[in-house]
Amino acid sequence: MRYRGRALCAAVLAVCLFAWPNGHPAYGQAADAPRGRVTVRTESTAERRAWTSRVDSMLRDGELRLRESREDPLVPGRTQERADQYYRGVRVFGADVSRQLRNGATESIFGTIYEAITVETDPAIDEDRARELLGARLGVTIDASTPVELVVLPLDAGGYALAWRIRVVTRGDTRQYFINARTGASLLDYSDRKTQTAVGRATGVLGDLKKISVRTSGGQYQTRDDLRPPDIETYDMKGDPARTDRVLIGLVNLSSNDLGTDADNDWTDGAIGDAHIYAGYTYDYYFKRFGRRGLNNADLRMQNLVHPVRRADIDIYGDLYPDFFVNAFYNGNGVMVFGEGLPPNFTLDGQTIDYFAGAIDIVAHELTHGVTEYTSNLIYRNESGALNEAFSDIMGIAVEFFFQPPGNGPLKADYLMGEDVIRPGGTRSAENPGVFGDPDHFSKRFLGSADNGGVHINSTIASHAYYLAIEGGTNRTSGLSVQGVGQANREQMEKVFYRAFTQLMPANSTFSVARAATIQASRDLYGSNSAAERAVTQAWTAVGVN
Amino acid sequence: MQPRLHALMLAATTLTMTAPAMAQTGSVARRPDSVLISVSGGAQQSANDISDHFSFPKNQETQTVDVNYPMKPTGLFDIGASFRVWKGLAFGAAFSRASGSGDVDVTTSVPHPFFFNQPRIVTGTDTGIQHAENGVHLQVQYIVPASNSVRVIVGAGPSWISVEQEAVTDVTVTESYPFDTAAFGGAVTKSTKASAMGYNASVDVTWMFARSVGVGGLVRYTRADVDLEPAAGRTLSMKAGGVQAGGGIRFVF
Repeated sequence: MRYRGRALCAAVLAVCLFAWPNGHPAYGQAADAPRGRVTVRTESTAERRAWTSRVDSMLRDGELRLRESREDPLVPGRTQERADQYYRGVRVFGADVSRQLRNGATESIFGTIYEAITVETDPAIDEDRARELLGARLGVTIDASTPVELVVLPLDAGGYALAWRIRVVTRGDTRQYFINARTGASLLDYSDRKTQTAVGRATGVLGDLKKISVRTSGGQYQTRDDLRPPDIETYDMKGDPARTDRVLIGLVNLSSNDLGTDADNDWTDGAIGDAHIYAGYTYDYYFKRFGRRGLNNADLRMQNLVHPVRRADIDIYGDLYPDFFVNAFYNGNGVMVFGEGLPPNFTLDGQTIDYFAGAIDIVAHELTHGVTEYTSNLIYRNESGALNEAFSDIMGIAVEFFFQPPGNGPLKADYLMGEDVIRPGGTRSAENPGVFGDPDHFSKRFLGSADNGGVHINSTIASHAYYLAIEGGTNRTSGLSVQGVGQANREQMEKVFYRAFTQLMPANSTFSVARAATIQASRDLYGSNSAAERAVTQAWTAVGVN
Repeated sequence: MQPRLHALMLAATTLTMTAPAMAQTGSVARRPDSVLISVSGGAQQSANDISDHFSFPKNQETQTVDVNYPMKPTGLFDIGASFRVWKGLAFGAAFSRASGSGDVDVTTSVPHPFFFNQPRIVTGTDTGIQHAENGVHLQVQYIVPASNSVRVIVGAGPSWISVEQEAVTDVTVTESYPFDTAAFGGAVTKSTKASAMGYNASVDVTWMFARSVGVGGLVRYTRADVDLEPAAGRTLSMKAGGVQAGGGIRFVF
């Protein structure tokens, strides 16, 4: 998110350096119960060499599949890898290894793998039948949207079974069930509820009342959402910019003590509440609209940092930490920072700046940078950078329309960005970019080097095309008219742009590539010569992208 | 009706006792009679279905639960005695037990965990809900000598009815992300008891086919308003009793 008119507001797209917990204890290398289970540790050089060779071999053969790889935030030059074991393409439940690399060489390996697996991997019953069987067993109906996973389950008594894993939430518990995928028999179930979830009420930045999903711990409520599949956590940085900075560069780890807290579950800190709630809404939107599971489509943890400074400290820290006041940004790996805004008696270019977390489109915008990071990874400069920003604006607008009624004013869906907290007017307009001096046509694009080659400025060329493709109308520069798909069909354009920007476009895309990709997406989804294809084609032509 | 009740009724109708006849006519010599014992089996049709509504806080809103207990005919066992005190005037006392099980229909509105005013409506049926009523009925009776072998006894008086009802106290629903739908998981029930005074009126027709033994039919209407308390501070009001009809053996002394 950029606040216009200030170079200090350039958005940050950095690599997150947060530490991820590495909870493997130092097991001895031995086969132990159940039979076939091998716990891995590398204490000696010989062990390290042997297991390095073994793990590399398994990775090559597809027996291990890399789940994640990230830089170690605490030790420079170190990389942490996690890989899951697979047997004939099916994940082995509870089998994974964690490898630490130092400058590319193995430093340590810990994990659990299973040997001598012999199990048929073709399920005799499908996942729908598995839901039915479990539902009948529990005396309930398990919704078709409840995810199931086919796994190889190591049995406590020895041996293996092909199983459907189903996680069911009931009023009293959350349980993992394993249904034999060959026979339908129950194999295992256990409680998977780790904490006590709670639903509270929160008053937002704009005074609106919403529900908030939190947890209870130690007699108080904390902003950690355990109801949604990913961990969504909102941290209160308590106005300490130096500590916030150290967190962002990986020198300090956040703990549960840093989570936002409330004594009675009636949250009145609007910034904390809105950041937490709107992050959840954004996850909901991606899941319901596209079936996407979070930023990396694998329920990556989402962390919101709010109150990075105090507004009253604007004179002290305004120049040193400008982004903490008048910006919101995605810091990589699921970490968002939401600026504090300005004191009430301050204005910037005639606008007041409230807590950035109070605008749903801003929150969705930042989280969409995360989606981009894990998909097209559009390079954050020049045209690809402008497309990166445009996609965040487009999805920010889409999320706003998904949760708020259309209209003008606070808490209404429109094509302005950030208008709920940057008042009056917001910071960009997809409907009429010229209101803010941004280009609505390719011929007016910014060609300088500022703003990473105009990543924010030129983003409106694409977001305006998105607007025209839905609403229709005439481009003010070209005078060309567009027959939009209409508000009732906005979902079509959301899916077209989502498909193009997350699945079809390469990292170094240009506007021209975006045009071709969205047209292709519209054909894929709605057919050649469909209204969607005509709308998106006309829209790009109208904004001068051919 | 459960098989156990059928067996009970059958036993009741075949039970025999020896006692002097209250009135003997026709081929059976008339003799002074003062006591009639009746043992009957039959059925009770309760007056009304029971409807319950309760609510509790859930997800920062209110979850409502509506329960309908359809009152189907239940098995009836009845034993009574009449004591003639002067001419056709008698006093009677009877004990009745009606019991059975049935289904309950449950509808609950479950607030969404993420959004206000977006409840999920969940309906379901729970089976095997137990219901039983024990009644003690006192009557002032008038013995109508319809013929030498037939007696008609009409009576009315107070009743004390004790109700034992398995009541729904909570509802289990299953749900999973994104929580836009929920499914009925079952009803949490609790057995609760209460009693109340009411009234009754009845007609008993007896045909004496032997000196001290006959058969008879009974129709009784009894009613009491009972307030059950399935949970602290929550009242489930019901109209206990109903129409009781049955037949069985009669003995006179």
